[in-house]
Amino acid sequence: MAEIIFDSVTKRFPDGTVGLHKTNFKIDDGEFFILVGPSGCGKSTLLNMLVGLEDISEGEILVNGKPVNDVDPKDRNMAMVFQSYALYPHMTVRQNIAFPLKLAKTPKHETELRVKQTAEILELTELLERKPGNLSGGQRQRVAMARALIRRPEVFLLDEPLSNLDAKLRGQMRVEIERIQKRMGITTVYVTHDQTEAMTLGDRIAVLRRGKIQQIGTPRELYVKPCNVFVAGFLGSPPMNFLPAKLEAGYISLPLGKFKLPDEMRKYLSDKPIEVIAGIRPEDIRIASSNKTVSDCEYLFRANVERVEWLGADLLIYFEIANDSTDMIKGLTEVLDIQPTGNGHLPLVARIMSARPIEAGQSIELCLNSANLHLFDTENGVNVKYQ
Amino acid sequence: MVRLVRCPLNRIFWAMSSLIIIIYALIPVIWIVSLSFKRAGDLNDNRFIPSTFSFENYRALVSDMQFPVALWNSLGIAFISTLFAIVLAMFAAYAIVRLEFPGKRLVLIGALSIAMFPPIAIIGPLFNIWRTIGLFDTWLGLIIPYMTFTLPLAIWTLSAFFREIPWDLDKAARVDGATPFQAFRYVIVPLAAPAVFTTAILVFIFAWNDFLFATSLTSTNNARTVPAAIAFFTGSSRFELPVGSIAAASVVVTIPIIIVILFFQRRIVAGLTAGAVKG
Repeated sequence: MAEIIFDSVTKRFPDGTVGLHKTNFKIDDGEFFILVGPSGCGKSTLLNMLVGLEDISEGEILVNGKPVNDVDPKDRNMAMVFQSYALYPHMTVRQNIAFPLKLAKTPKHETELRVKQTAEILELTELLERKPGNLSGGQRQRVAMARALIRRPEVFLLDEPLSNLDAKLRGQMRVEIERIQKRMGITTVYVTHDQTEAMTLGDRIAVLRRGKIQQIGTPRELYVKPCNVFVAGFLGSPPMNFLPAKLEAGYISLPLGKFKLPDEMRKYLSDKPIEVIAGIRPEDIRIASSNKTVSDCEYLFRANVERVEWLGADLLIYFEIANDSTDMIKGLTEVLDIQPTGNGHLPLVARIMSARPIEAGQSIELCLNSANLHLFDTENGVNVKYQ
Repeated sequence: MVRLVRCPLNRIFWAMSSLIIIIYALIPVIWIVSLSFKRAGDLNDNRFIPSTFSFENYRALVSDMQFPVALWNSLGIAFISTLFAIVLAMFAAYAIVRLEFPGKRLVLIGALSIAMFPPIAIIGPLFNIWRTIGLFDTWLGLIIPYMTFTLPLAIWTLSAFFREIPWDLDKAARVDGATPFQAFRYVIVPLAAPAVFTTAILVFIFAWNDFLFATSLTSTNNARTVPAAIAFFTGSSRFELPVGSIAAASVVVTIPIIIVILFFQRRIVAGLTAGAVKG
């Protein structure tokens, strides 16, 4: 069992690029901690530094209060599952699983017992005499897990363990990993670029981008209160819609129109007119219901449906809105890599219940509430609320 | 390829080509074998198959003082050179592939330039140096140049092969609790076995067949290897060419190399790495 602290840890590669900027955070004992971010954001580097496969350029990593910077990987008692599984092809499943014990010079009868136990947990008993080459992807994955867990490590590290599996197996293994982690109570660090895995598995998530931690929190915190425009856009599928906006005296002007902000929001906004990026989750755009009265803060607008995606329970409606403030679009594209369509229109998406029959080309009336808006600074992308 | 083989015309073409190449390669060998079984008087009879089989030449070979010694020298020197060259090349290749150190490219280029260096150019100086430091006419005196000239090839072959072994395997072994050497010993070496054996065969053949160093750096039975010893064969009288004995010696000297290749070939199993990582 272990508590891990990153104390201003920096990674600088020999060619001068910085893989990880001064990073500080703490992983609690027994926690399931997720590192998520786009590829190349430094999450695997961070994991490799924790396990000792990469040197730490600056700062300290503390495990149970002791710095481990100079501890050899073999002495850290951490186990890792690699994205490629990294099974030893010349050994049988049994030998693969027993390899860490063999290196630790564990007595033979104990090795046998523990291989048996671990194989049972991961349902590998039938496969023990096979070679990795004769196993399916899911089975290899389980062998890799067994090899990692047999040592009863203090820290369990997983580097994108599910990315090579098909969707169904991925779902199964996700449940499996969670079950095993809860059962053994091992501090677990899980690296992924898949936000579904991140949201469903973790106790807490750290979102990384370009070697910097953007935000750490529970999945709910990150989803409901994203600290900046990147986190807001990264979590959620389909991603949050972003629009250029102007704030003035309690009112917000979107390309859609001008409407009132709720009082609760006005508290942390100055009355000075400022430009912001407004974000709205697809599920917060609703179909306007004719029989309901519209409050001050709600805004109704008509949209031409460009495309419809039917997901079974939900319906995704893609539409575009006209936009004339080109300056703001420029700011938006720089921070978010959002490309407006050629005619200066902004693409938006709404998620609604699939009960309604809606088809492409139809004109529908939609409604959004300003209370659901997330507002971000145009300069640095930080959530205005927490600035 | 599968479709090519199925078509009958193609099949005949490939079969014929293979046959021609095999015959082309084997005719000199068969000729030597045939010569070795001829009696001294029949050597110039221009017949492909000896009229009478005689073991006269082989008997002479065994009773000859220097041949068994030369065979022993050859075996010893070739095996030791192979062993050392392979072990050193394995470490060097692994370091070149897995470690970042300054001058990595320089080592590889240096190795390549040594391989291209004509051995004949260093024979003279080497002869003098070896005489001065007492390595002349010793096993070590031959083992060192054999290693020098086979190491580059071995390093290049092995490093190409190590590069194919996924790096994650070393890392996994390290995390599983292995020292760098244990990771090398338990994971990398077994996986590299096919390449190691292939390289070993090449090194062994070089050392076994070498004539240049063997004649120049030896003078007695102390270290003279078979290729050199054959050159010093004399006939039973000064009017007789030792063709028969030379043929017999050549046949004998070929046998170990055939055995070595057959033995190692069984170990060269392709596709050993299948299933290590997701393919």
